[in-house]
Amino acid sequence: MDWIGITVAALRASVGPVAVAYALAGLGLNLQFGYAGLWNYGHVVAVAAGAYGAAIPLEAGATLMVGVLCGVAAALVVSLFLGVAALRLRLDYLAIATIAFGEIFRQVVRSNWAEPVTGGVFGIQQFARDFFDLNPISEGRYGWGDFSFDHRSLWLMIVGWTLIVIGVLAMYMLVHSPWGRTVRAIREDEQVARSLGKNVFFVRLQSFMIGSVFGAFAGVLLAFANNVNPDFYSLILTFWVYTALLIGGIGRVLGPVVGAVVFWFLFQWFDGFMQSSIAEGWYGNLLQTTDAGPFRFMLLGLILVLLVVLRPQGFFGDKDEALLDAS
Amino acid sequence: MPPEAMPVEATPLEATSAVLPAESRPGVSKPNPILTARGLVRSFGAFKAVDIQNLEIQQGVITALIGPNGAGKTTFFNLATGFDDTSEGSCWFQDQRITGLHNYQIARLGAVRTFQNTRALTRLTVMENMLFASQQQFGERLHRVYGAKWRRKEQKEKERARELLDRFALTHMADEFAGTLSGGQRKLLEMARALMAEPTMVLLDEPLAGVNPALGETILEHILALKAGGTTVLFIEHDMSAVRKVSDWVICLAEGRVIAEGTHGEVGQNQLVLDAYLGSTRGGMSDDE
Ligand SMILES: Nc1ncnc2c1ncn2[C@@H]1O[C@H](COP(=O)(O)OP(=O)(O)O)[C@@H](O)[C@H]1O
Ligand SMILES: [Mg+2]
Repeated sequence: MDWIGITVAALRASVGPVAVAYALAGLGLNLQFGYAGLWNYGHVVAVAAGAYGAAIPLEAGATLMVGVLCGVAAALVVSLFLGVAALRLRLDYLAIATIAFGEIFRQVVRSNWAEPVTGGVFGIQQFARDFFDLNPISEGRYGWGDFSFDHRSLWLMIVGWTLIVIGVLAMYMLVHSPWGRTVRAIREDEQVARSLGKNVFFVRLQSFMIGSVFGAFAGVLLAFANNVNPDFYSLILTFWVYTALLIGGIGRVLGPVVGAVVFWFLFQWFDGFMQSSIAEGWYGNLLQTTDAGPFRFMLLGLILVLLVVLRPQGFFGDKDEALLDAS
Repeated sequence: MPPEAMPVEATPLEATSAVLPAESRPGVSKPNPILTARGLVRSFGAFKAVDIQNLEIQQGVITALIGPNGAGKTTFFNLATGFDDTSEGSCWFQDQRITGLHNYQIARLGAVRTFQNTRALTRLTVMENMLFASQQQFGERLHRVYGAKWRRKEQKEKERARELLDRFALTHMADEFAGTLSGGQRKLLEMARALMAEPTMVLLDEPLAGVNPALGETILEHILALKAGGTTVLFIEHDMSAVRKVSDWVICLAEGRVIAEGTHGEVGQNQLVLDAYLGSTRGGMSDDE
């Protein structure tokens, strides 16, 4: 078995464009769930709104700037709509409302009658030319041995990691401000917050919409990296972002970034390991190469369960805080 | 400051300059009402948890709201502070009709309540609990988060928070998570936090419930200090001896209605009040909710 090859491939995935998108989406979800305590199970809607919001005008010939702004605006509009409708509910209903909305959103964009705009089940391709035209890196592969990226991936990573740095700084200032303190206080006890004059609905709506902006940037980046395909934006994406967040530590500014890197390392490592071990016949006739895919998900699921049970604060979190009685 | 060393002896009437109403009957009007309820009803189905014809709470004095378990005291607090929906009637706070306002709007007008069950924001530090309660946080508005100005303004708030924590003997816990506080410390923090909002009136729901006698004395002192600082206090309490120590005026609620009002001496001897307490299903003059 090529242990080094598997590990290098996993390392490559852990810093690649998709991991970057997960980190950005996770930053937003961390604000919503980790700091504001909002059970958003439809974060994928913000990501998809960002992707479609940018891809549709870009395909129609809009400039790159307009496309990106449209992606962000789409996420803002969708989250405003969902927030106004659902944030008045009790928070357990919010969870259900966001799940439902996530699925409705996907069904709408992939429907036949939306096809002229969204491309239906085929999605949208070939709209990112302006983005890659800005790429200062000349064609080729860069890196060391197997740990290498082509010029397109590298350009996505440069832009993506720059966004992460800006996003982390912005998030740090946000959650360490008096506004962020009020957000966390509302998470702890909304009635106390109300009794002290805080407009709970409004502050929640703000955090929900800001979280969606981060999701939108993740969506735009994913769209540039992989085109736009409606079935990519299924509910499970939200849960993988949650898994990454749990790994990195909820309610910590760097948690989602660390989590996304570790998540994609593990994901790719399990994939490589299962592929190789099946190919080498470790399991006899029990498993075929086609089983590698489902198995890596099972292993990730197992990690999620172990984390929740053994380290609710994440790999890197502070156990005391996570275990404080929330009542 | 060990509470035993400073027994509360002050007869409140000496400590206040406010002129109390001449009469002692339910619904009597008062010289300077800060909170007024008229025809206030809260029904749950056919059952009226609160049914108050007329009630005025006088500004600048300490009023105790007593009554047996289930009398509707907490429900009245909820109606007055917008935490429950009024079925009929209205409340006014400082001449403004507050029925129909959101609870946070009423709090911003200056009527801040606490809850029967202590509610510390456990994963915030004690200091954060305090700062968050302030109404003057410049950086609480999203568009100012990235400016530099709020840090300077926050220093003043911290100063005020430190003074309050000092008064409530919590300074040494300032940087600990509130979740690490003992039950008694949480009660104190809850009061200090309410004061951080600079209320003109505080409504304390059973501030003495579940605290040991020594801490109870301390809390009573804080209630007296509130009045000295010009804050109107309305508090719910069962224990007549505690009520006697600090309250200028006592209102007794039973089955949602005001059955007696007056000084603690008058209300303590009122036959209706005695009957209400004896007749209450759970009996006695204590409450362990
Ligand atoms: N949400 C509710 N639904 C139904 N009944 C309620 C509700 N809230 C309070 N009650 C009833 O109203 C009465 C008054 O309750 P409460 O105000 O909590 O009493 P107190 O604080 O004086 O002990 C009680 O009989 C209680 O059962
Ligand atoms: Mg009560």
